[in-house]
Amino acid sequence: MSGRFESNTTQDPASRRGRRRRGNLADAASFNIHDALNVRTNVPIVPKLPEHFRVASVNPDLEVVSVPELTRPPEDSVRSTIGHPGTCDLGGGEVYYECPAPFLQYLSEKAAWRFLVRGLGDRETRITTAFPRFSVGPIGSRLRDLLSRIVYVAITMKLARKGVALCHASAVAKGDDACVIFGYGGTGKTTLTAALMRSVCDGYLSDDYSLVDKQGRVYCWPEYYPPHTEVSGSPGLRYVLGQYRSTREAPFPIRKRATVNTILFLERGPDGVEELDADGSARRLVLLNMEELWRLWNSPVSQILGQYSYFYPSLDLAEILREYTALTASFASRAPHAFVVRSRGASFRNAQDLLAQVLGGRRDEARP
Amino acid sequence: MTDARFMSSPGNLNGMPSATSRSRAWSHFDIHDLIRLRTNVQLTTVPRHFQVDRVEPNLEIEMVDHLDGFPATGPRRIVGFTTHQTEDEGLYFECEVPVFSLFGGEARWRFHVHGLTGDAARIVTALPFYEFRPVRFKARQLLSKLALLVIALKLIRGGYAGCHATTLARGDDAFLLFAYSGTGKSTIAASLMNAGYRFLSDDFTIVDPDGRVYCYPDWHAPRPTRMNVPLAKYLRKKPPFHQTGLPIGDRARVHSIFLLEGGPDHVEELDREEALRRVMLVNMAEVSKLWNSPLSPILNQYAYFYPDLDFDDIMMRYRSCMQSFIGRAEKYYSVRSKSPTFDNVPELISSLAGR
Repeated sequence: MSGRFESNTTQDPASRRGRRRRGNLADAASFNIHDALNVRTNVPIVPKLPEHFRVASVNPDLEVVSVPELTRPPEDSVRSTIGHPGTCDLGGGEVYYECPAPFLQYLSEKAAWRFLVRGLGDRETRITTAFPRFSVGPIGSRLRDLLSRIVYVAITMKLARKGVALCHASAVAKGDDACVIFGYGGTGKTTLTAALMRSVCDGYLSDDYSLVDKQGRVYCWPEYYPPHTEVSGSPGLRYVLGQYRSTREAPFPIRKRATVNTILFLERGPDGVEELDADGSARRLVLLNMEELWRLWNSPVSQILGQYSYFYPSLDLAEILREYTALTASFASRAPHAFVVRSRGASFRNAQDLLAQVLGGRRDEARP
Repeated sequence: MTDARFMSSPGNLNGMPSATSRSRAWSHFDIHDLIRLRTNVQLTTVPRHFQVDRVEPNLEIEMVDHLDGFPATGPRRIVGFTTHQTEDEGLYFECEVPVFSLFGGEARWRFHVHGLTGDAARIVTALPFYEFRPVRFKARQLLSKLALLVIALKLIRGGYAGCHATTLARGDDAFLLFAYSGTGKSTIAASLMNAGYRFLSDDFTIVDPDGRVYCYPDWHAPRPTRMNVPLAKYLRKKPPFHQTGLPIGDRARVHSIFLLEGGPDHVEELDREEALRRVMLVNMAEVSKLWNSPLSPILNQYAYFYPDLDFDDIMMRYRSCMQSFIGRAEKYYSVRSKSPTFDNVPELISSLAGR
């Protein structure tokens, strides 16, 4: 367990052995996401929450705490259980959840992965987890990955309630004009983003997750992925080497906020540019975001959300999804331009040329 | 692979299994004339009850020996790493070979998908190392999930809905038990069958807006009796529910709906809205499980290329079908029981059925 997750621990050698100090709240890292959401966690989240959001301390809206041990609540304290091995409603907005530990279950290991969740439908949410014993090395990486997915889902839901939609897109800007770039993983977002930062654009907002609101504003999420391929070695090996969704700090000047000028949807194929109306743009935007949300949802931990909602109607998943969809549709309608750009080359030269014309143009037109 | 079983045997088209490809024999399934499936893959999500000699298929799932990969050039649209829109209004998709990829194998599992929203949906797939049992097991599992998702989509577009319930009937009265997996639905079903109830479904139930329930007899043995070494299931020959001799009922009308929980014994009547809310959540948990698969991008990306497949519309239709169906039930109960056998449920049901 070397310093792969050092951003979440301090630099002294003792805390680099993060696993042993799990549960020590002194290791907690605090993040303030554009004053819309405060997160505090002592678990390394992958991909990392941007250093840009790191603050000394917060009053958290979302707290994720790893503790050395959780035990199944005694039967007489449980109001109701559902499913197997049994999610327990403890009353007062508190739910106990457990699932078989990934990997370990294949060995018929009875070790359970345990959670205590409080206030998922409220402003202040706390997710407490006890990893199974033996969750070291690649198994530990896998568990942190699965946990991180649900943390990202929770962040997405909480931001949606605050009027901000987390989208699976890259964003760059020229002055205040933002270009938000959508594309299924592997189409070329990262490569194009880097190329744009070296040519047309002067402000970097995000590489994988963009925050948008219904007025058409784009907020930074400045994490940078080195361009990646679909399969880099065996998945098992990726966990062993800790290369899973690793990010770097962006090597570009960061811009905190900008206003959407153009939405791009990337495809590969014969070179072509096609302008979209707001509906066409919203339709694609929803599909591309859903793809990412489903990837995040794909974790044994995601059951917590549905089951919490079963016990506590204050967590209304359908309503959150409606809010989220309405937000993104409104955002799409605020963009002066939306295009599908198709290119054979990975560098998307035609997208770069297009943006050189479009970005910055609106302000000039507006001038008398 | 030069294994003889990998050689193409188009003779299968007439429905005659050839000696060298036992696992590739064609089967036909007629699911209440709503889904007519023709496939040469053993799908664990399609009950053998529906097997017939021959159908005019509206859904085909075929395993072939080989599909060509697409060249990177060519007049097509590509999204993601490898999903192509093909010229014949279809979709080409590829992903890693299950199990093999864990060890760094670079072989590709390939798909051609056509007409998902039409009357002739067709999924053709080629999977290297299919004859290796752990690969075949995992691949079947994933294909079975995909098949059930496509079946569910077709049902919704046809005005029906699939939901996650165990259904038993006496006469024309159907009793639907909803609960998260593992709560005890199958156990109750077993005891009600012993008491003379007919069996309609265990996990997946087809319903319509008029309150009708159509059987889907996908019997699973109650879970505690299953093997608890998960790796062993990769070596098992047969899907778990192929059990014969169940007293299967074909159709019935919804009488009442039960939502099961563990905990201190308690029975409570619910109003229609609360019943619908919980039923939708339980259904969502099951859809999540089906969707949690490396194959689900096929559906998302198909919708990206072909706006005909409109998930928004499908969700709306689904909700309104379920709402109308639930509205046809007489009573809604939340039942909590300390005992894993839910002894209070059969009692409650027989008192209702007696009326």
